[in-house]
Amino acid sequence: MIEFNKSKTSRAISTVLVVVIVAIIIIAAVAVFASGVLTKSTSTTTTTTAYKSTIIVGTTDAVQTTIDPADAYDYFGVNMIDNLGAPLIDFAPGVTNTSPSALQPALATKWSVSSDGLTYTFILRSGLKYDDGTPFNSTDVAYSFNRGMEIADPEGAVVGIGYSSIIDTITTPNATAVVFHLKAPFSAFLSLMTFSASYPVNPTKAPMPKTLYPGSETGIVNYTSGNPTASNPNGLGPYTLTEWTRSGTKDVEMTLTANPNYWNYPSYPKTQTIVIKFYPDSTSLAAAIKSGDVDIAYRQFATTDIQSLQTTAGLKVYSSPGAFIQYLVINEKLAPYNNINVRQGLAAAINRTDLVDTVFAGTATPLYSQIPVGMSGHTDAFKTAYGVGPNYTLVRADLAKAGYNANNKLTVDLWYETTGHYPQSPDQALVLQKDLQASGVITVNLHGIDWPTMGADRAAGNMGLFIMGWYPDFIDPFDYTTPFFQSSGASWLNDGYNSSAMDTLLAQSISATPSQAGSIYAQIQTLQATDVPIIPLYQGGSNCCGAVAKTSVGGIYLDVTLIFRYAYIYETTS
Amino acid sequence: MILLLVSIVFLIVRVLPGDPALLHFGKQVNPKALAEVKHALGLDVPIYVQYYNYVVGLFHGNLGIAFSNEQPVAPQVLSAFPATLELSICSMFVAVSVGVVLGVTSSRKYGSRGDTIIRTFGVVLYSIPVFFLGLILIAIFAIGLHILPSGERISVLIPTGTTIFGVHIQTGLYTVDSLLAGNLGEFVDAVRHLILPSLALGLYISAVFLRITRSNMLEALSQEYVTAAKARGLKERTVLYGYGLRNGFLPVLTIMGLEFAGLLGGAVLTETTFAWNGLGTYIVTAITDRDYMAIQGAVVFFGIIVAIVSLVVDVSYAYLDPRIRY
Repeated sequence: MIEFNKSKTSRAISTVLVVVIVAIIIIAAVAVFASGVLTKSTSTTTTTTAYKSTIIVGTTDAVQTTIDPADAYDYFGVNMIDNLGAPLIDFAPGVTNTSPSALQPALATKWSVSSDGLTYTFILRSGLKYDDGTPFNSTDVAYSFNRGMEIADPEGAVVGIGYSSIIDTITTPNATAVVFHLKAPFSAFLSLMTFSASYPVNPTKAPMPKTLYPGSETGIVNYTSGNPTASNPNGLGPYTLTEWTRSGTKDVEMTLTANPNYWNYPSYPKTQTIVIKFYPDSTSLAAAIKSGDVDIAYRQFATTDIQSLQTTAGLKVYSSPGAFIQYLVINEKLAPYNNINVRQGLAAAINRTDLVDTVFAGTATPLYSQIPVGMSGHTDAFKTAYGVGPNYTLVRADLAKAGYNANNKLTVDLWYETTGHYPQSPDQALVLQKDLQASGVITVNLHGIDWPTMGADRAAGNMGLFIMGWYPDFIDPFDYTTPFFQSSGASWLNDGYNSSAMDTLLAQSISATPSQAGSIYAQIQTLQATDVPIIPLYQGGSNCCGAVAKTSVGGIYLDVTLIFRYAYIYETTS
Repeated sequence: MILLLVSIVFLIVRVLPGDPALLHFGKQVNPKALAEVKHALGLDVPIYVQYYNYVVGLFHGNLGIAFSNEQPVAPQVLSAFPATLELSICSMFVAVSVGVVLGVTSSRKYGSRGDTIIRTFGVVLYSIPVFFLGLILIAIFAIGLHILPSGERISVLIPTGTTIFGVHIQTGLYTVDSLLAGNLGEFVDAVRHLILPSLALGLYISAVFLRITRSNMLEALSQEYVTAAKARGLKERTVLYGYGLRNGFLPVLTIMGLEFAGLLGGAVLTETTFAWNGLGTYIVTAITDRDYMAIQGAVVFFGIIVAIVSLVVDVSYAYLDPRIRY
């Protein structure tokens, strides 16, 4: 028989405790020693100037395909082009209203448009060079646009936006003048010039497609392992790419080094080297900024992490009115959504304030129009039509017209994605369910599905009511109206919306002058609030567009363009 | 076996809802563009033709082209593998060290409160989800004490290896590459990044080794040859390790092989917690993207790894047990 002996037990407990304590001490000692070694090895990154020479940025984003303007159509790929390349013209950092008057010179110093709206002329800076020393002139601009349209990558932005249907020809009267001849007036053309697909590439790195059949991707500059130069066809921006490492399909690290050939060098960039590190989720990104592994963390945080970071000493949270929006799509091809009273009743039942406060801790902005706040042409059309919301009196009145009441409730199936494609969709769905059901005349059944399944169901038209989101292609109200409401163009949402009145207004908006555009877009938004094919929910917020940085970091501009400009950020030496 | 595995996976991934071609379009998509992408991905032919093409490619050493980024699968798998291998080796070191030592100690103190405490320690370790253990370690050592990094494999510069006689050697194992490059700072940095994920994963798995070692040691120590050894006056240490552990180690070795093979397939939760981009992350991403080729390629690679590890374990039996001969 085994006898338990008190002294033996104490010895065993003591042994385990000693082992654990010793292990912790050893780990701590090794780590502290290692920190010392590491500090010595990396201390050379600090220069004697007022700013540190290296800033480490963490993100949960990644380049989905390439950083070739002819191909990239994902948020981070586009953002890299924004920092490695340069547009002809650009919006100023921190822009609060993206009207054409807010555009400023970049590669071009002057620009003009003909009275018929068909010809745009840009005068370029002279003497510019790419990061590898190749001279830049107007023929490179023409080459870049023609290359994009010739590659015609079906997944790329050039095809997605339809550059070929906008641009007829491009001429270069001299080395510093480039003239775009359009097929028809296009009011968003100047805004389109700020988009990554309009950034000139380096012809010595970005070849024309070898085979010229439509849809051929030959000629696209792909990621080349161990060769960042060969992976980057840009070269006119504030930075050049000096390192790009992937593991599997995931980006691990990118290093950007200041480009001395940048047109605004040496004023910008402020920081010599930017190291971008990639994290799998909000939790690991939050841990990285809290532990000091990164200096800035930009996109995407869960609300709980944002709340925790807001109270962390030494860190500052930046929120953004970014142009990312989310909205409810209503499929008019399915009953009961083909009844306008049902759609209007749903619109009146939305409690955006609750959604923003509950899901996004108040960091997002309630949205009452498809065109986000901060963009030219924006009006609060849904607030005008339905109030701040929810307006349950109006809900009950609208649904009564459709035959629904407390005894015969309207039952809707709300679909949302569960794989993090959009920020906290399941939480949004729960809040929407609660607020719609609070009307007393609506019952909401929730259906969470992964993003690939949602894509298939959307294409099949199976979903009657579903949550979607939109990152802008380029910063113009056109990008928030025509792709959604045009009878032919809105097929990607498969929502069955078909309005000749809307089509007429959209056609007018495309050819409008800046002075006419505001009135036309106001009418479009009013008609949207009446027909309710889509119900806007919110825009921006720390989750999608916010940043967290050490308090020693400055120069972070978050605005409606959603461009994270590395050239402006700096960290002061302590 | 691998062909059977591939065949099953080939069918299962195609049962999943979602169109991999459609996922190439974040926003608008027109039927013509969608058809072009389907053609480019080889999805516009009947499924049996897809299967035939894939198997034929496989026999030629071709794992295919990934759907998500239209790049060859094999280099992608190979680029993700070193991260997983490095973490697996260090985690196994922690797991075996802690598990076997505690298992032997527990068996030696069989029935005592010390035994109970160690067994409880093992149960608690195995009960804590590995990501939670990881978060606790991060909270203490990275966020609280600021002495270890919270994640990733290196701080800033990725080790580039070295060139010997004109041949560039880069293993992808950062500890090895930094040593090859003669950069002590990078090596220490890589080791620092390895500590927390290895501890999280290793401690979690150590509970398995603890239990297996303990039960097999108890069985071995109850054998007559152990009693005879004790009767001959051999030292306790000699009896314990020379007779008990050596004879009770075969099942431990088997589990070691299985666990190691499992780790090489990617420890998804640990990789996610510590931002450690390895095979686990690769496979999860591939599933999310409905990247059939990437999933199949990773499974083939994993199958080969399991076969190799199993072979090594079988050969090791002969070394540990003289009765086993091949």
